Parts: sequence; structure tokens; C-alpha cells
Amino acid sequence: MAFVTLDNVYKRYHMGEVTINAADGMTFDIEKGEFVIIVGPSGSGKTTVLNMLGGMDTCDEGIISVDGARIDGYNRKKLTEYRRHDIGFIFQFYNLLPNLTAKENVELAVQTTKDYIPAAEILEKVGLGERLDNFPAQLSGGEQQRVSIARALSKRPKLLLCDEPTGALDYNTGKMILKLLQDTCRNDGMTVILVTHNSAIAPMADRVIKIKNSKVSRVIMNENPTPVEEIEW
Amino acid sequence: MKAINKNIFREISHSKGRFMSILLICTIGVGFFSGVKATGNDMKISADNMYDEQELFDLRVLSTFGLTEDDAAAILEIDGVSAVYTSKYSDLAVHYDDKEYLTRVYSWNNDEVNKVFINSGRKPESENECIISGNRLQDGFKIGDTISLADLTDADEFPLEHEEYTIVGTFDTPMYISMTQKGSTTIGDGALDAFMYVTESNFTQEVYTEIYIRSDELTEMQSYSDEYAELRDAITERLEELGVPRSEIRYDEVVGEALEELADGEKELADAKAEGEQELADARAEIEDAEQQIIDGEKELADAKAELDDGAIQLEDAQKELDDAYQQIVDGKAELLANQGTILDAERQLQDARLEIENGELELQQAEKLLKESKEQLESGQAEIDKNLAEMESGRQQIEAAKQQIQQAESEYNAGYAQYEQGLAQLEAGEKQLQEAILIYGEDNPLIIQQKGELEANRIILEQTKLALESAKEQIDAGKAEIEENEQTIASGEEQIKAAQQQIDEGWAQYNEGLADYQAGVEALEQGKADYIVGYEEYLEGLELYNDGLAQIQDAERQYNEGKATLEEKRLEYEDGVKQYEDGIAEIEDAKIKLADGKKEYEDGLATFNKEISDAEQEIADAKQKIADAGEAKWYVFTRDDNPGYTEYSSNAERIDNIAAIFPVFFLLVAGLVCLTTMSRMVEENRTQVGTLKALGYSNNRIMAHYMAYALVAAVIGSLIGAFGGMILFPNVIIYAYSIMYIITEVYCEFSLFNIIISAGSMIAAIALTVFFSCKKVLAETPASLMRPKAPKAGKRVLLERIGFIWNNMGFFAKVSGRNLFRYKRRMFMTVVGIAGCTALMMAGFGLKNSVSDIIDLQYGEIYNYSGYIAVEDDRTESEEQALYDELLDYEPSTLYTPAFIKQYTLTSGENNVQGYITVAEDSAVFEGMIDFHKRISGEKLSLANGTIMTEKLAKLLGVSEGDEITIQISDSKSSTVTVGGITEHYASHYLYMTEEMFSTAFGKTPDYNMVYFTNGMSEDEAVAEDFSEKMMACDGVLSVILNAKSSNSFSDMLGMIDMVIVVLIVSAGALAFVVLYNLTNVNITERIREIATLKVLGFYDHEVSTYVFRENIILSLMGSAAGLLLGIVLCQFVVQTAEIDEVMFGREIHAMSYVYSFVITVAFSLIVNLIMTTVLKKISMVESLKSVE
Repeated sequence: MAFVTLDNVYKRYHMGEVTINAADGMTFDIEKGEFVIIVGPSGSGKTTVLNMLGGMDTCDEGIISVDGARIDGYNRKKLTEYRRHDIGFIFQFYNLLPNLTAKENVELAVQTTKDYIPAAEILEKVGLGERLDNFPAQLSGGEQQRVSIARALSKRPKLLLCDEPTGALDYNTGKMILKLLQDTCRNDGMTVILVTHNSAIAPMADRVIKIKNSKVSRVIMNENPTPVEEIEW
Repeated sequence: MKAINKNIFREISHSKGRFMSILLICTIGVGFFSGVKATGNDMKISADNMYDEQELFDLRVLSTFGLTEDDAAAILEIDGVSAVYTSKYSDLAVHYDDKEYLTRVYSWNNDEVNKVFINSGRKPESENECIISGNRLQDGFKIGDTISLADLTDADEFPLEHEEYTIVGTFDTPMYISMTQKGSTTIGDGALDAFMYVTESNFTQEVYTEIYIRSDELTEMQSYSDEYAELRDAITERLEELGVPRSEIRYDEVVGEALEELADGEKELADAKAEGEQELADARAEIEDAEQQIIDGEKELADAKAELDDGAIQLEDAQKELDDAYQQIVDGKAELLANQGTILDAERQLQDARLEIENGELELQQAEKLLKESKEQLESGQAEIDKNLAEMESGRQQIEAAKQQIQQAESEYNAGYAQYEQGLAQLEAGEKQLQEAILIYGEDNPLIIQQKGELEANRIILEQTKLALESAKEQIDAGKAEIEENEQTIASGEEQIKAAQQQIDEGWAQYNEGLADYQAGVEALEQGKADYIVGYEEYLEGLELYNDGLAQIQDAERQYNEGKATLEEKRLEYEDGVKQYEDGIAEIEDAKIKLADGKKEYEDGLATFNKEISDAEQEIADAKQKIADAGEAKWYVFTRDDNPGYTEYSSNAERIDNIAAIFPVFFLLVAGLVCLTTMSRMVEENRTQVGTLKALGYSNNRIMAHYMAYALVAAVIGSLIGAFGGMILFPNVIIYAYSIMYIITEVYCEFSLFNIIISAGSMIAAIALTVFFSCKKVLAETPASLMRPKAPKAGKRVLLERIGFIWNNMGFFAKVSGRNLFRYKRRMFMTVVGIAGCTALMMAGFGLKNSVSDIIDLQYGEIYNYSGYIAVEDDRTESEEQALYDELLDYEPSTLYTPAFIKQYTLTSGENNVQGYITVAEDSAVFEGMIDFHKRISGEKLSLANGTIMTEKLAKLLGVSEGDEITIQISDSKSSTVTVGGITEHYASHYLYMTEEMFSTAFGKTPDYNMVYFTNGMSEDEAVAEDFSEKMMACDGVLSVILNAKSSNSFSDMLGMIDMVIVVLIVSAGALAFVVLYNLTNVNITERIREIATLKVLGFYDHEVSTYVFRENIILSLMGSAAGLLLGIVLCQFVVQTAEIDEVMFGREIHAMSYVYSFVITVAFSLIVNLIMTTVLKKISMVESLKSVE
């Protein structure tokens, strides 16, 4: 069985009379250590997939399993624990707590776990060894996102979920962040799932899942993913 | 509708929570403001309506000399007077159910003016019916019961026709709206307790006591308004002008009469004085007599004592003598007994001798008898013989005589027979003649007949004579025979006699022999007798000796017994003497006691006399003074302001206004702050929209109008609901509370436009202002910058971080919270201020409650240490007084008591005048133990030694401090000035305590003690109190028993109404606290929704998220509450001082528990809000975290 499996997953939203299928029978697998990019246009359902995988939302039908565990049947509490221990999340807008320093923001995430990488060490790793005590407002967007990545990694998650991590960054900074993510995947064996509407970066992934109209339209496997440096968009 | 307008309504429907919170805060703020503000006025209007409805007088005129119909008519002429009503009243003591009520008895007004509210029963109709004011605080009067009235003044005439009346109804009157203040009177303790109406015909006085005046113009006006006061004063002036000439007229009528009465009084006094002095002199003499008697008696007793002692010695001697005598008697008796034996032997011998003698005598007697008999027989035999011989002789003689008689009879016979033969021959010759006459004369001739008869009769006689001669011949023959017989008998008798003579002679010889024997026997007997007599004499002698001895002994015994009896008698006499002596001593003691009593009585009598005389003299002097005073016969014009409670009510209303001036502003302020936060947040949230609209070319004003409209819709709706709701709710609740203390029947709520504009307007304006400022800041930015997300507020190090040892020891989340708190300074400030306000409001409420309960706790718990006081009659006797003290001591031996004087007077200083009680205790030392006199703040003890002590509130109302002078209005014309010696902590009622000396100086007389204060540590148990009261009431001269425990209860009932106000305050504050916290927390959450969502995504549990957010809230609540406590102290002081009523001083201390309550309630509210918000937090979607920053 694959590391991550979605099997015929449905997610429906009821807006008064109208029912919207945000996931309409999605099925795909992801192997451990893969760098996966889920790509599709706005409103195609890719964020729904991310939410369900990240334990932020539940599916109405179908099977979702991560590392052998069926998370589709999880209750509120189990989902919280799942997010807490198994998922690292990287937001488009970093979502750092403005009143906490870089180090504190990382520490915030690991307050609740035992097996974690110390904040200073992980921040060093993402290249912010000098900025530990800076507040987010004192950091650039790229740096903030790196803090965000450090925060996600510090608790040694099973999955690293990224929601348009470069969406708010300029080209170069975005590239640097993607590089960091790709390196993390390659060097640490981390399974990274990145959601974006920018199909240009798809070649850097091991697996590309294309989504259209709330369905998986194609799954492309790249035997030889292109390094980030070579990708241009 | 334009799109932008549609947008407003959509905006509202999208943010119902925010809209509602603005609306609600406006409702509460405005409701409180308008409600409390309206209350003061509504109180006045409600009262005014009541006055109008009940046709309460506007003015009332009293005259020292009473008023007449003419006066009334004159008053009616005055400009502005619409109607006049005459009335009478008299102040009397009502006795009902063992209690005394000082009562003003009015003449029934027939519902023309001052209409009463009949609470139960009906109006009075006939003469001995009455209605009485049913005080809701006192025990009610029962309909159908009888009350009795007593005149406490020394007036000669009872002012009413009856002394007993049947209650037919109870009432309240608009003249006396206060439940606690009933006005002053000159009788009793000076404070009226009740009112009564009886029909006018009951009053004995003819003049009217007062005249009520009503003015239509004044009725139109609001009773407490300035215009009312102005017009009323104008009419008052006119009345006073009229009073001058009218008084003069009345004076002339009355004063002559009074002078006459005075003269009478003086004469009466002189008489009484003379009489009294005489009586006293008599009493003195009697006492002196008694003293002399006692001295005499004592002397007599001493003599008696000496005598008794002698008697005792004599008695002892006599006893000794008697004992000796007794011994002698016993000895004599023994001797006698021995002698008795000898005598008895002698007696027996004598008896034997006598028996012998007697036998001898008997024999001799028989012999004598035999001799005598024989002699007699002999003698009688001889006599018979002699007799027979004599008979024989006489027989012979008789026979001889008989022989002669016969011979004589024979010769007579022969003579007789010869005569017969002659007679016969004559007859036969007569018959031959007759035969011849017949032949001549015929047979029928009468002479013949007669001759014939005579011849016949001669014939008969001759025949009879022949017969008699024949019988005599026979008798003579018989006699001759008998004589021969007798001669023979005599011859035989003589023979027999001769034989008998022989026998007798023989008998005589025998007899003589026997006689000789007998004589010898007699001789021997005589000898024996002589011997016996000798023996007998000897015996007699012995016997005599014995009898003498016996008699002597008996005599001695008798004497002994007599002696003994006498001794007994003497002893009894002696004992009697002792007893008498003792009685005498007891009598003397009694007499001494009696004398002492008598002396005391005399002293008392003298004192009483002196007092009575001096009283009477005082009275006369008073009367003179009165007449002198009355000289200025005067009208007094009173207004409604003089009605007890009338002005107090309006000052209460003004007090509510005072509260309205600060509390609602407070509410308004908090509400404004909350709205500001909310609206700022709203505008901030809508930056993009503002930017977009700006970019689209909308003017700043147009954009601002959007937000303005949003806020104003909420504010206007909320304010209007609040304004109307508040103006109905608050006046009703507060006036209801006041109706416990005042007679207010209907609550009138006036929806004053001014009030609405002020309250709602200020709130709406405040909201508009907050919107303006919030928008202005945002609108100042360019559209471009607005459309960019606002840079999140930069994180900053806070001051705390510099204090390493604290910061380093804080947990991670504590650090986060600490930093967060200071990140949003404005919100922190808002929250703290809002919560502090709520806490302060609650503190004010609780503090007010403390203050009120302190009155009871401190006044009755700490200041008043006495158990109660007993009202007694002024004119009680000393023995009655003593009896009461004995009863008190009997009930509890450790009881302390002191007589005291309490009476209400008007005290003035400068402009202020206040009704207060002057209290004087006879025993200041005891009294100081009963009431704890001390300064409130310093606790310094005060002593009556300074002359006077004034209660704190009284001093405050008079505006005086220690050492200042105040004036006591003793009567209409007399006043006196005293210096305040000290000001003591005191809460209920007003007192000026004085020493007896000070009182005497001020009043020119000693106080008439009319109370007895006592301390006996009795329990507060109702049964105990009941029992005690009953015992005391049973004493003569006791009017009523007032126990502190009971007073304290009735006081707490009275103050219960304040609780209502406090509840309003606390509930309002609570509501405000809730809304503020809700609103601020809501803002806090919406502002940080992204942060919260992020935490959730990071895998924080719900409770961890809640804790993360609410930790700050709780810290802010704590900070706010703490600040509120400080603010509360200030607010409470203000509220207590403004809400205080004149009659009492509220406590000035806020209890520790009130801090705790206010704090805990606020924090609890905060927790409840947090709890509610937890569900909101739960609902926050994590998807929010994915949204872009706005």
C-alpha cells in the first residue's frame, strides 16, 4: 500500500439549495519520500484535497490513508492529534504569529510534542541562524516563509503540506523556497505535497497530480525531476 | 436603492453579532440613563398627581387664638384663594393593644379636602366612630376594635365628647406621605405616631384649629416646581397681611377671658399652698409626737425589763421553796401512813366493845319490856275489875230509877184514863144537842153544818187519846219485866268479880321478883358502858391527832399545789411579760420604721409640695408669659413644605437625579468605548472595501456615511428601545421601592422628549463620533495602501522582558500572553476600563447595601449597648418609679438603668433647621455605658462631661462642628443656645445628648424624665421580649416598652427599599459587564481569527486554543476588576452621600465581602463570557488561515 492513498474520495458543500462537489471521487496514491505537486486552476478542488490530507477537513465518502492509518474516519480530537504530530503545514501567507520572534514561532509548534528538532537548530538549517530573535515584521517574505518551513519541520512530520508557498513571494525568493523544500525532500526523505496553480513548476516533482473539476484528471510520474534551478516561469 | 445602501443592510445581516452588540450596549446605556434620569421627575409628577387627586391643601393657616368662620370668609376674599375649609384637631394619646400612640385627631373633612385613602373599612359616619392611619410599618389597627383616648396635656377639659371610639376604617392621608416621619407634637415624646379622623361634632371647642386653603392656579402647577413656590409664596404673603387685623379682632375676644382665668388660677394656687402648708405642719407635729412616743416607749420598756429580771429571780426562789415543801409533804405522808395503822386497830377493838354493850343493852331492854308488859296486864286487870264493880253499882241505881219511873207512869196513866172518860161523856152530850138543833134548823143550815164538823173533830181526838193510853199501859208492863231481869244479871257479875280479884293479886307478886333481877342487870351494863366510853375517848383522841396530821399534810399539799399553781401563773405572767416586752421592742422598731417612713413621706410630701407649688407657680408664670406672649396674637401660614416627608420626598427625587448625573454618564462612557472598539474594528476589517470604494471614486463622506449609517441604525434602535424601556422600568422599580416609605399610589411615567434627546441623543452622538474617528483614520489613507493588506502590527519586546529573572521563569504561553497583552494597548485599555466600570458599579451597589445594613449593625449592634427603654408617665409617683426599678431588678439583678428625658425639638444653626431629639439622662455614668459615644474616624471616646454630644448626621445637616453653637427652639417664643461638646458616630435619627446641668441651664428647668433606659443583657428572642414587655407594662405609670431588638427589626424593614435600588444597580452593572466583555472578546477574536485558525492547523487542542486566547482575557478581567475596586471606593462614597436620606446616616465603610463579591461577580461574568466564546472559537474554521491577509 502506498504511503498516502486517496480512494474515491468525495467532499460536498451545501450552499442552500445548491450542492457543490469539491471532491468528486478523487483517487491517487503517493509514495513515501516523494515530492508531489498537486496542480489545477482556481476552484478545481486542489485546496480541498490539501485540507483533507492535512486533517483540516473531513471527506464525506471514500478512503484517505496516511502511513497506513485511515484518517477519513477520524474525529475532531484524533484529527487534531494527527495535525499535531504527523503534519507540517506551510501557508501561502506564512501565518507567523506577529508577536513572537522567529525562534518563538518555531517553538510554538513544538510546545505540544516531545520528539522535535530544537528551534535554533532547525532555523540554522533553513538559513536563519542569525535571525532567531527577530519578529516577523522584521523579516522579509522569504525569511518569514523559511521560519514557517522551520516551524513545520521542527516537529518531524510525516507529511509536509504546502499551500502555494511561493504565492506571496517574488520569483527568486520563491525559487529559493522551492529549493529548500526540494532539498528537504531529497536529503531528509520527507514526503512533500505542494499545492499550486502554477503548472510551470510541475517538472520538479516526482509525481504530478492534475486536478480539474474536482476530479483527478491525470497523474504524471517524473522519472527524472528537474532541479528547481533549471525551472523557469 | 443604490448599491451602496443595499450594502448597509447586507452588512448588517452579515454581522448580526456586531450589530446586536452595538444595539444592546446602546439599549443598556440609554435605558439606564433615561430611566434613572426620568425617575426623579416621575417621582415628583406621581406625587403631584396624587396631591391633585386627593385635593391636598396648598396652604394652611393656624392661629394662636383659633380661627372663626369670619376668618375663613376673609381668607376666601384673597386673590388666588379658590376654596377654604375649616378644620379642628387635637393631639391626644391613643391607647390600643397595650401601646400608646401620640395621635393627631382631626375633624372629619367629608372628603372635601385632603381626601384620605381608605385602606380598609369605611369612612366615619356616626359620633363615636373613627378612622385611624394604618401605618404599614406598625402593627395594624383592627376594624371594629375600640381605642381609648387620653389627654396628656394638663388641660381641664377633654377636647372631645368621647374618650372611646370604634375603629371603622384605616386610611392614609396625602398630608403625611412619609411612613417614618409623622411630624412633631407638644405632647409625649414630641413625635406623632398616628392620625385619626372623628366627626366634627365630637370637638368641644368652638373655634377652628386651622383653615385649609386651595388654589386652582396652584393645582395647575407642579407641586415641586419653582413657579408653584413663587405663587404660593405670594399668596402666603397676602395671608400674613390679612392675619394682622384678623388676629387683633380675635385677640380682643379672647384675652379678657384668659386674664380672668389666670386670676382664678392664682387664687387657687394660694389656697392650695395654704392648705398644703397646713397639712405639712400637721404632719410635722405628728412626726414629733411619734418620736416622743417612741422615747417614752423605750423608757417603759427598760423599766419592764428590770421588773422582768426581778420576777425571774423571785420565780426561781419560789420554785426552790416549793421544792422544799414538797419534800416535807412527802415525809409527813409517810408518818401518817404509819399512824393510820394504829388507829385502825384501836377502832376495831372499840367496835367489838360497842357490839358487846349493845347486845347487853338489847337484853336489858327486852327484860324491861317484859316487866312493863306484866305490870300493865296487872294494872289493866285491876282496872277492869274496878270498872265492873262500878258498873254493877250504877246498874243497881238505874234499876231503882226505872222502878220509880214505872210507878210514876202508872199514876199518869190512871189520871189520863179518867180524863178520857170525862171527854167521852161531854161528846155524847154535844151530839144530843145537835140532833135537836137539826130538827129545829134543818140539816142545811150553816150553823148546823159548822156544829156538826166540830163534833166530828172532837170525836177523832178522843179516839186517838184512847189509843195512846192503851200503848202506855203496855210499855209500863214491859218495863216492870226488864227490871226484874237486870236485877238478876247484876247478882251473877258480882260473883265473877270476886274471882278475878284473886288472880290479880297473885300476878303482882311475880312481877316484883322480875323487877329486882332487871335492876341488877342494869347496873352491870352501866359499868360496861363507862369502860367503853373511856376507851372510845382514848381512840377519839388518837384519831383526832391523826386527822390533825392528815389535815396538816393535806393543807400543806394544798398549799404546795396552790404555791405551784401560783408559781405557774407567775411564770406565765413572767413569760407574758417577756413577750410583751419583746412585742414592745418590735413595736418600737416598727414605730421607728414607720417614723422613718413617715419622715420620708413627709420629705417626699414636702418635696412634692414644693415641686407642685413651684410647678404651679411656674405654670402661672407660664400662663402669664403665655398671655404676655399671646399678646401678639398671630396667624401662622404653613405650606405643604411643612408637611413631614413632603420636602424630604422631593429631596429624595433630587437624590435620584444626582445618581442619574453620574451613573448613567458612566454607563454612557463605557458604552461609547465599547462601540468605538467595535466600529474601529469594523472599519479596519473593511479596509479593502473602503479602498475599493475610494478607488471607484466615492467621496470620503459617502463612504463614511455607509459606516455611520450602520452604526446609527444600531444606535438609534438600541437607544430608543433603551429610552422607552428605561423610562418605564426604572421609575416603576424605584418608585415602588420608595412606596415602602412614602404613600405614593400610582406611578406616572412621563416620556419627556428632552430626556429622550439627552439620553438617546448623547449616545447616538457618541457613537457617531466614534465612527467618525475610526473612519477618518482609514479614509486618510490612499486607496492603494488600503487595498494592500495592512501590515500586521509589529511584534515588540515588552518591558517585562527586561526583567530577566521574571521573564525567564515564565512559561512559553505566559510569555506569549504577556507580550500579547501589550500588543493591543487600546484594546487592553478598553477592556480594563469597561470591566473596572462594571466592578465599580457593583461595588457602589454593594457598598450602598453595606452602608444601609451598617445603620442597623453599627447602630444597634455597637453604639446602642442598652437593651431598650421604657416610656413612663411624667406624673408617676416615686413609689411607682421605685416599683418599676424593682421589677427591672427582679427580672435581672444585674440590670443597669437610668431615668432619661427624650423630646423632639427643632434645632437650628444659621440657615438650617433640623428636628432632633434632646436626650438627658439622670445618671450620665450609666448612660455613657449604654451608648458608645465616640468619634467615628479616630474612634476617640467622648464624654458627656463637655455638656453636650451631638450625633454625626445632625451635625452635618446643621453644618456645625465641635465647639459651634446651635439654637434649640424650646417653644414658639423661647429658644436657647448651646455649644456642641462633641460629635459622635451615630446612624439612625438625630440626637443631642445633654447633661442634666446643661439642660437646666438651657431650658431654665430640670428635665421631666419620661423614659427609663436599661441594660439587662436579655436575649433577642421574641418570646422573651414579649414576656419582658408584659411584665414591665404591668407596672403602674409605664406607657410603653421599646426594645432595641424590635427597633432594629422595624428599621431594617424600613430600609428594605434600598435593597431594591441596589438590586437595580447590580443587575444593570452586571448586564453592562456582560455586554462589554462579550463585545470586547468578540472583537479580540475576530481580530485574531487568523492567528487562532493557524494554531488550530498547528494541531492545538480546542482547550489549548481557548486558553491561549482567554488567558489574556482573564488577566485583563483581573486587572479591570482590581482597578474597578479602587474606582468603586470613590463611586461608593459619592453614591452613599447622595442617596442618603436626612433621617439617617449611612455607614461609610465598604465591607471586605463587598470587594470580594464585586470582584468575584465580575470575574465570573468574564468566565461566563469566555465559556460562551469557547463555542465561537470552536466554530472558527481552519480554512481562515489560508485566506490572504486583509
